[in-house]
Amino acid sequence: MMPGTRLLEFARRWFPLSTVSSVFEPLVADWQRQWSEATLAERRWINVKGRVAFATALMMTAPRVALTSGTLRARLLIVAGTFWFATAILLLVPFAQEGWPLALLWLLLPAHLTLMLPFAILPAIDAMRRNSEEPAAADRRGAIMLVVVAVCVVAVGQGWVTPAANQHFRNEAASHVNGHPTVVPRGLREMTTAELIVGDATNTPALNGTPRVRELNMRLTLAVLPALLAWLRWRALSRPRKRSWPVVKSCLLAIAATFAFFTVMTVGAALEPILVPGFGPVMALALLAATTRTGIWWRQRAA
Amino acid sequence: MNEVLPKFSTAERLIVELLARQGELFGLQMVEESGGRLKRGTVYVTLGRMQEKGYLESRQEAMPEGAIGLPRRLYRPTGLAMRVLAAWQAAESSFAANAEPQGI
Repeated sequence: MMPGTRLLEFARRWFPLSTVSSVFEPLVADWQRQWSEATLAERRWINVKGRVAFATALMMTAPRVALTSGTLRARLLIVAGTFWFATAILLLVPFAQEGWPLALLWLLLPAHLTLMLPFAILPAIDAMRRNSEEPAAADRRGAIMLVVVAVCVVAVGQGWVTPAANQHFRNEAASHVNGHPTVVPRGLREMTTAELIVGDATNTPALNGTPRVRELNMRLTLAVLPALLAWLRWRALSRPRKRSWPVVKSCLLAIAATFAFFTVMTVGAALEPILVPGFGPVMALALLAATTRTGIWWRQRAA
Repeated sequence: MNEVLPKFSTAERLIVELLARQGELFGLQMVEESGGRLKRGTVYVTLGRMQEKGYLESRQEAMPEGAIGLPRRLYRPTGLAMRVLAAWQAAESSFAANAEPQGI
């Protein structure tokens, strides 16, 4: 297969024909000709330069296309992706203000991305359902696939990637402060989910018990959250409503959901000592589901 | 007539100057000819925008024998781009001539 073929297919899927023929096709055509006339040794470097050029053109073209043309569905999906990355990067700001080097801050990005992904599901579901009270089978399949991917990403992100990145951050930060290489003992958040269930945490008295159960429940809650939010949003969109649902409103809803979730998390943590120790996050999730579902039911009944 | 003379961006001006000299060029040739002033990742976006503005025309090359891959796109300046370039060059030379220090 000639280089750039898959990238061009991607561009054809997401960009208007006029942009593809005026920007991406000439870029790939020049790249392919250069590649076909090069020696084997030169081809690798040509491919690197071609991919960088394609990515640059993509970044330059995407915002304009997202805001001026294309279907609203494509625009909303781009907005959902932008919301996800932008909010994850915004969460780095407090750490940047504390003066941590940029190279260290990137290690916190996996945690923030897995934290914000469930909320980015809301604009994505809006994108799928905005024009239809009765969803098409393809929309339903698309939503299920999106939820499955999101749940897997959050579960793996929370369970393995974030603990590794967090521990790396802690070691690097301690080394930065102390001025010599330092290894910090791992806490519960720096252990993988497997270690929390059957490994090191269960063998360490200081880490075992309620904190371990709470950490596991927190990870479970975040992993389930994309599915729960997608279901609640899907149900909410099934009621009669105005057709227009602007992009900004979608993002505001996602921000409101983020605040609502962290508020009920605080309530869950407060209720924990009275009810079931270690189960605060799960109670918060149940509270969020119950209140939102009741609200949807109430509005449907009123309509 | 009270028309405002259209402005070129730096990259647009460079592209029109290159094409005015060379006739027709591929995007990658312009990057090579510009000596690093045009970048491979941005030149095609600029070329697309210039076509929308009516400064450039393009056509697909006739594929050479044995060539593989997509046919490349050749760009040439329109009359509008050449007139705008000529007008700016004339304005600049006139400004430079008037700005020269006068002897006593």
